[in-house]
Amino acid sequence: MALIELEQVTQEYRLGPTRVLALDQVSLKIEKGEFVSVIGPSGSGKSTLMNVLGLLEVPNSGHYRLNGIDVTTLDDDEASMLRNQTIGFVFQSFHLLPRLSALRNVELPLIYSASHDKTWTRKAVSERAVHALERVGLSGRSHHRPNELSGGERQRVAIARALVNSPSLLLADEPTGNLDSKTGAEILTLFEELHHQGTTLLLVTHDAANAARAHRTLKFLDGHLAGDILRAAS
Amino acid sequence: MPLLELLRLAIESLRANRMRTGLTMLGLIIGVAAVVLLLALGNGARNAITREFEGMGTNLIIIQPGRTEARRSMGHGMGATREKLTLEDVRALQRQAYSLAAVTGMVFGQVKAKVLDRVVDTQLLGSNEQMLQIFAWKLGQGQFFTEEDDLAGRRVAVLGSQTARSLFGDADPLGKLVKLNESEHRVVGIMRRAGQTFGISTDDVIFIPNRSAMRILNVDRLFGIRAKARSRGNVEDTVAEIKAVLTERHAGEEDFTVTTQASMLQSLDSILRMLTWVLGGIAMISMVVGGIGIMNIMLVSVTERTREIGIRRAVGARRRDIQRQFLLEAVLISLTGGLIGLASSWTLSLAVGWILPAFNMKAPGWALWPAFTSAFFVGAAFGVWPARKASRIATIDALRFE
Repeated sequence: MALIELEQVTQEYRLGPTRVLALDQVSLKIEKGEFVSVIGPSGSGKSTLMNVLGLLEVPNSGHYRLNGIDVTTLDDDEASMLRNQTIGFVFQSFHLLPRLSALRNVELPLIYSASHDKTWTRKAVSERAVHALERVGLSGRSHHRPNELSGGERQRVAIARALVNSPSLLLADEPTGNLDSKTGAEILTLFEELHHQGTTLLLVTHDAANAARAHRTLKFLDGHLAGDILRAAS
Repeated sequence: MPLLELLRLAIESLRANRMRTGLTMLGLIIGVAAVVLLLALGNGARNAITREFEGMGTNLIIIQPGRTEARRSMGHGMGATREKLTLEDVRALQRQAYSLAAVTGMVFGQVKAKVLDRVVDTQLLGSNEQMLQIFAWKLGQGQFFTEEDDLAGRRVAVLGSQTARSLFGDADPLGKLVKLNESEHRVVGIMRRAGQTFGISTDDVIFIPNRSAMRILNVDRLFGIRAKARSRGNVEDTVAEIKAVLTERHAGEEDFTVTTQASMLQSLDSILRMLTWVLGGIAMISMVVGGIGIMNIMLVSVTERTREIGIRRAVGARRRDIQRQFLLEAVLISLTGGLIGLASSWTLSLAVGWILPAFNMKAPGWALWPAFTSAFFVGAAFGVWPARKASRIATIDALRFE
């Protein structure tokens, strides 16, 4: 069973009188453990794809099965839970809570896990957050606030937050877009490491060089899936 | 989500914005303090007034002609001639009502008092010798007229201190003559200066025996009867005794009304209590205004924190988690504001009590709890809408929000 299975997914927006087809009958499968990059010009539908895959948007039509579950039928609470348990987000502008320490930011998904995890304890939350920060190489900075960290460090905190609940899928939307090339390269290396450790990764990017580091690239154009390139595993 | 975590989230975001949190609280601090202080003020006034009233003696009994209930339903006409109290009624009470320590008839009227060429318009108060005892009034100089003076219809008078001054200036009035309308009276005593208590001043009055007063004022009936029960305890029995004696004399008809000082005190007290409530109600308005302040700030805060809401939703917060967090923030603001309001009003009323010891402005204990709980409910009520609004924000829009 594929981790992700999209079947004729269509997403349409209305901007005043005009309709914009953000996703036009997209069908694709992503297996567990894949490292997939998504490229395409802006407006091509790659951000919408990510929102749909991340359960932030429900498509107008078509089916989306995640781990075999048709998520288009879920209500808001169920979608929130699934997002919490199976999906990790990494955003271009980090999206950390500025008033909280790195550790508290990383703990955040685990705090919202309490509602559907019977074995939840406060102690386990801290331990797992500390461990996630160790994984991204930031154990020394856990009590710093985002504004006391460099851009690369901030993105590492965001990655630790995305990883802390051991998600089935890591969605990264232009994760290096706000970073200098050296730091960006470091972050990509970190993604590759995570991939080797078994994480399924979907990386949305403008940058063809970055996209080439994934073993599979999806090309989007005007809401269509215009290309699906497989490379030899790196 | 565990309450403790929720509490932690709420406290974190309140602390992150200390200035805003403090200003929002201020509305409720003032609201709660206003409620407590105004209730304390009303209570203090009530205590002061009641105490003064009690000083006049709680075993005072007032008998007026006419039955209040009957008058209301049947109008004036019927039995008007019988609706009167006379000196014979007073005499009967003196003889037969054993539980009375003192009883007097009373007549009132305007009179022209004249000494040489000085003329003063003043109040004439006819009574018997027991008047002073009943109202606990004090004589300044000379003596009050006696029972014998009254029975013999002697033309004597006791002057209020102010009346004495305006008639005689600095001269000693004792033994001198004063002309009341056309009747000459000898001054035998002067009242001690007392000031005003509830509109009755003994300073600007001339006291003379009942019979003379009725003659001068040309009336055949008493304005009313005043009596004093022997003990405070069984005033009700005394009232029953009075009613029995007078009803028998009035051919079985209860055409008079007996009021006691205690019952007057009660109705006065209930009026003052209502006043206290009205003050408290006015103060509640400021509490509501404080609540609107909370709502206002929370709404701004929701907009300002749209991105935060988006982030929380993206990592798995449900709508209700967001709603609870914002609601709890509003409740925490109002609870803390309520506590500070209580503390500050308590201190303030203590300070007032220290500066003005005579005015017993103590915050009534029963007012603290409702003031505090209404602060809580105001905060919660006005927090609901912003919290709902926060929970309804669409996650992708929230994440894109700059």
